[in-house]
Amino acid sequence: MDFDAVNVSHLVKYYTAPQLTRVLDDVSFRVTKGEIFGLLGENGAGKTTLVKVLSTLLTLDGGHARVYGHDVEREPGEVRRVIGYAGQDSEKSAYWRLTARENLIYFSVALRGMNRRDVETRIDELAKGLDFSKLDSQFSSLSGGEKQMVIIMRALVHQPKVIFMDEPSKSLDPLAAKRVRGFVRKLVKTADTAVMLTTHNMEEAEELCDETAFLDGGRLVFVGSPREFKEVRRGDAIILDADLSEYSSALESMPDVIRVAAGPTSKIFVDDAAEALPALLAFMRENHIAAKLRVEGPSLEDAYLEFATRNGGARVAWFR
Amino acid sequence: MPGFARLVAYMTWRRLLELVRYKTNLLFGLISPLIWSAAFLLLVPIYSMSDISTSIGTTNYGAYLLLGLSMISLQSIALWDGANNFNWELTTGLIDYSFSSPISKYAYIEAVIISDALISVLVYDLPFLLIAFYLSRSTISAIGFVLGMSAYGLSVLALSQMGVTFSALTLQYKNVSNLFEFINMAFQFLTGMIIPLQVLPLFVRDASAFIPLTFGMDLSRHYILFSSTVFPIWLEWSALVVQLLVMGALSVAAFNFVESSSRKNGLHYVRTRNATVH
Repeated sequence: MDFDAVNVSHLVKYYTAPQLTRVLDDVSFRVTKGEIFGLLGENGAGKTTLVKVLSTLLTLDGGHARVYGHDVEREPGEVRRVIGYAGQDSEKSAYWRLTARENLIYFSVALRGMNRRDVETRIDELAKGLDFSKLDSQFSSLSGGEKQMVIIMRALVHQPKVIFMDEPSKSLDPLAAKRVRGFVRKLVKTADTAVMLTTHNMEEAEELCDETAFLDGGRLVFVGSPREFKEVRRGDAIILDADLSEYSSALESMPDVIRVAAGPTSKIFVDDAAEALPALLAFMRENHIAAKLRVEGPSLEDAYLEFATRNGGARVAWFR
Repeated sequence: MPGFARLVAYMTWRRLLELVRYKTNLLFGLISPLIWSAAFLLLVPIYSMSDISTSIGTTNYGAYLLLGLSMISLQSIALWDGANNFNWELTTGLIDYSFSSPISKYAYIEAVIISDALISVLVYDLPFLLIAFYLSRSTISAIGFVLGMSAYGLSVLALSQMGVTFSALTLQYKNVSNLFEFINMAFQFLTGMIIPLQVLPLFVRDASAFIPLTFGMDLSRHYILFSSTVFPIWLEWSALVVQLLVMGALSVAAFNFVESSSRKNGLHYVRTRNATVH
């Protein structure tokens, strides 16, 4: 059957307590099978709420949402059967005196009705794929990152069709995060699975996602590929190993300069580095600024910051 | 294995693993009922002095007390294990996983209660029951044992329906521990666990009729010790079945209502109310 892994149309969500708040406002997007979809946005933008609505943990107040062809409001049981869920604060959410393997067996067999023998085979496959060697250690003895790895395995063990991951690499070290990314990428290709993840890690979004979306105050202001997302931030970034805080206003009044992000390492965003550099070098000489300088093209992180610092009036929406 | 049986079996397996790995807890869990049994058997002379055998129909006060005492932890489990489980799941975030899994949430919480009740009977309550059976060896029969334990089990099952309703209250209000203290104390007194209902004022007896454990305990004592019952036997069995059905229906309705209403603002509402929603 031909249907999207996730199809969201004009979704609206309110919280009625502690006060009436519109958390998601007219959100529409689709995730196709075999796709990794990254949801970006600041804290409080509505990312977790959106994932919870799609995981049937929250009801919606308007619009429609379907997961693997099932309506999240009318067929929550069917949706739960096809999803895998790894929540944001789930690092503690397993039984501490059970081993990682026992936890995974318990959750899959008791709560998902899987056959124990299949589960054990699948656990070994997952552990091999993720290079996780502590299956027989008690959950309490695992590090934060290892616990998170078990939680990710828990979301994958029953071979779901759609996987929701809320900041999956939050407590993973860079190497473990890379292993998870590689595994997820392979899984999506081979098992016709779709993954929807929220992240603040732009490297993760860039490396992993086929599509990204940016939520701002509950509204979806961008949907497109990471490359398109990067292009939203036009021009180049000139990076100086110096704190330019005291020169920010002067620099921003220069032609070609779009914005200055000052700090121990400062970034000057310009339309075209080749055109802006002569004037910038002259400015540095005049003000006796000695610093190493390099030029970078648009990055996902810069695009994120550009989106995050824009106010509502300057929103750009790209919808497919 | 059918879904619910598998759920109970795996929960019991999980609980047993946890139990044996918290060794100090297990050790004191095993010692406590023995100490309590000895302590309560010391009370037997007080019962003898007051000569209440004419009211309760038996002089086997030791077995009478221990059969009641064995119900204390089961009452606590039936009423509060589901609520405690949800409190723990809310704190650790596990509730998001369990509520996004396809299993019926009512079945899930009922399985939590039943598996813990099984562990309680097999581990903690066994000394009480074994000593009670030993003391009642002159009156106990196979049929009496089966009928007594059936009433006992049925009353715990009916009480667990109340426990599911309290679990729903926990989802809605998050912390109901003071309600727990109040009801636990009231039920221990009202069901005649320690002081026989026959010697208590009539209004206490009337109030006790609303608690399924009253009948389970009274019937099990009757079949094992030949003690007299508070109400006619047919009435006690009927009341037990009716309570199971009514409380079962109420708990399913309450749980479904609270589950759907808590999905409105999120299961973590209280925990995140001062934090940014994201």
